[in-house]
Amino acid sequence: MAKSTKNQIMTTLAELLREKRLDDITVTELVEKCGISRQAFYYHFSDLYGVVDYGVQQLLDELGVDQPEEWRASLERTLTLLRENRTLVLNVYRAYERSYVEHDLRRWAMPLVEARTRLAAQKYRVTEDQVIFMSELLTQGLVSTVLSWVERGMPSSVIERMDDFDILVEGCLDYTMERLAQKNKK
Amino acid sequence: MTMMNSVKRAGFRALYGYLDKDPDANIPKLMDWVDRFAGDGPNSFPAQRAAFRKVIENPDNNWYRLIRSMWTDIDGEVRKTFFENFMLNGNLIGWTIQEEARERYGCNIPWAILLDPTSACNLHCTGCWAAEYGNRLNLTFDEIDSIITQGKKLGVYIYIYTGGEPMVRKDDLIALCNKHSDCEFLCFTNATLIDEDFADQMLRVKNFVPAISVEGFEEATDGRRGAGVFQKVRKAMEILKAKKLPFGTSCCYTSANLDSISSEEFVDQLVEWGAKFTWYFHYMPVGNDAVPGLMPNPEQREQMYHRIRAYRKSKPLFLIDFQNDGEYVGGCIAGGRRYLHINANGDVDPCVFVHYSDSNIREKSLLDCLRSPMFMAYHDGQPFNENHLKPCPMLENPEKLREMVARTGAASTDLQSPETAEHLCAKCDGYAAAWDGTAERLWACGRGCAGCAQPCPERKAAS
Repeated sequence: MAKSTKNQIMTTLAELLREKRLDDITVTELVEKCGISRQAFYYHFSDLYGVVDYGVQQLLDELGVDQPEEWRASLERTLTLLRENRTLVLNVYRAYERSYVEHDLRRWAMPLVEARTRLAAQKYRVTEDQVIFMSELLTQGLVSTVLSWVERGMPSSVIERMDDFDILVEGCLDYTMERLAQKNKK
Repeated sequence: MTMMNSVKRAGFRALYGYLDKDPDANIPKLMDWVDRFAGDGPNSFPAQRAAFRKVIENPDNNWYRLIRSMWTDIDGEVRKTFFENFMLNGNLIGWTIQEEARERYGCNIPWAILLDPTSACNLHCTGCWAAEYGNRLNLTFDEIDSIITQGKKLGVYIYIYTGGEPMVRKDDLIALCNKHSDCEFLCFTNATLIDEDFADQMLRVKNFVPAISVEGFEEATDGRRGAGVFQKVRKAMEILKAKKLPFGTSCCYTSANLDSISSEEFVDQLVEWGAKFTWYFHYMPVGNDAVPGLMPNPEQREQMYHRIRAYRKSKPLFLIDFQNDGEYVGGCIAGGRRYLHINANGDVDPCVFVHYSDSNIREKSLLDCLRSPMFMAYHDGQPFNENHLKPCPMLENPEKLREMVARTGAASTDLQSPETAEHLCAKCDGYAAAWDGTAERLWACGRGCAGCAQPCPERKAAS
C-alpha cells in the first residue's frame, strides 16, 4: 500500500481543501472519501498536517531550483501556481500559525535567492559570510512579501510587479556587493 | 499545558541539546548545574547527588557506560524521541497531570498502560497462558486509539504491548506510534516477526522499543518456544543493533532455569547482544494448568535478589526484577497505581498476572474502570504489605486477593479456562509462608538491621 496510498491520501485532501478549511476537515471524513481505514491513514501520517507537509515537500521537489539566470521566471511560476490554487492555499494557510508557513516558504525561497546572490557575487571579492548574510536578508524580504500577498487574497497585481522586484534585487545586489568588495580591500 | 509544564519542557530541551552536543564533555558538567541549583539545605539530597556524581565522573562506572552507550549505540533521532517521550512526557510532564487526576478523582492513575492488541501468536510455547486464550480476540485499532487518547488526558504517555504476540498486528502498531508520536511504546515480543522492513518502520516512527523474550541460551529458548526460535531471536537482535535501535529483553525465572538465566555469563551475553534493559519476572502459578513446582523456592529467590543487586553495580544494563524491587516503587504497582492491564477482550485487569476484573473498556471509560470496586480495592489496600519484598496481593499475601475478589465480585477474565481466586490463591499459600522468613531477614538487612533478631555474619562485622 506504500506510496500509492500516500499519494491517494494527499490528492483526496487537496480535493477537500477546495471546499473547506484544513481545520474543518477530519481524518474520518478524509478516509471515508478515500475508501481506506483510519489505520491505513495513520500508518503513513500522524495527522492532517503531516499530509500537508508531505504535499509541500512533493511540490518543492517538483519546482526544484532553476538556473539562477531564470530566477525571475521561477518566482513567477510559483506565485502563479499558488494563485491558480487560491482556495486550497488559503484553506491551508488559515489553519496554520504564520511562523510555520514562514518556515516552509523559507525552504522554498532561500535556495532560489542564494543562487541569485552567488551569481551576482561572481564579479566581486566578497566573503562567504557576506553572501549568506545578503541571501538571508533578501529571503526575509521575499518571504514577508509573499506572506502579505497571501493574506491579502493573492491579487494578480503583485505577480505583475515581479519585474520591479527583480530590478530592485539586481540593483540592491550590485550596489551592495561593490561596497562590500571595497570594504574588504581595506 | 500548565505554565510549569511549559517551563519544564523548555528547560529539558535546552538540557538535552547541551548533552547531545558533546556528551563526553557535558555529561560530567551536568552535576555542576544540579549542585548549584540544589544548594546545601536540608532538602538538597546531598547523599544522592554525591552518588550520582560518582557515577558520571567515572567513565568506567557501569551506569556511566550505559548512559554513554545511548550516544554510541542508538540512532540520534530515536534517542531524542526517547528522551522527549519517555523522560519528559512520560515522567516529568505526565506525572504532574497524573497527580492532579489522582487528587481530583480519588483513585489510582497509572504511569503506564499494558494492553494486548491480540490473543493471537505465531508460536505455541509450552505453558503460555497467552496462547491458551486462543487467537480469536483482538482490540481494534480504534479501541486502542481510544484507550491511548483517554490515557493521555490522565497524563499516561507510556504504553506497553503484551499478548498474544503484538507483532502479529505490525501495521496497527506502527500506525498507533505515528498517531501518538508524543508517547513511548514498549512491546513484549518473541521477536520472530522483526525483520529489516519492520526495523525501518521503527526508525521512521522512532517511539517503539521491543522487550524481547528469552528463556536463556539456545537449548532453553528452543526447548520452550520451539526449534529454531533462538536463531530467529538472534537475527532480530542483530538487525536492531545494526540499525541502532534500542531494545531490551524480558526473562521469566523459574525453579528450573533460575540459575542459568541469572548467571553472570548470561547477563554478559545480553549486554553483548545489545540489550539496554532486562526485566526479570518471577514465575506465577496463574491458570488452571499452571505448574506450582516451577515457582522458585526461598533460597532461589534470595539468590536472585543478591545477583541482580550485584549486577546493578557492575553491568551496563538496566535490570529490574519485578518481584524483588518493590522497595524502589513502594510495593505493588498494579491496580492502576502505576499500571494496569487490558486484555484482547477489553477486560481491564489490575495486573498482567491477576485476571479478575469488574470492568471492560468496551463498556466503560478508562477513568470509570479505575474507579470500579476492584480497582478501588487495590487503591485502598496498597501497599499490601509494609515489607516490599512481599508486595503482591496474590503471591505473598494470597488472603488479600481472596478478600478483594470476594468483596468486589470481580470475575475471572480468563476466557479459555476460568480459575477461581481460591484455586489460584491456594497455590500461593505455601509459597508465601515459606518466603516469609527470608523476606523479613532481607528486608531488615536492607534497612540497617532494624527489628531483625536473626544471627547474621554481616551485622557482627558491622558492629
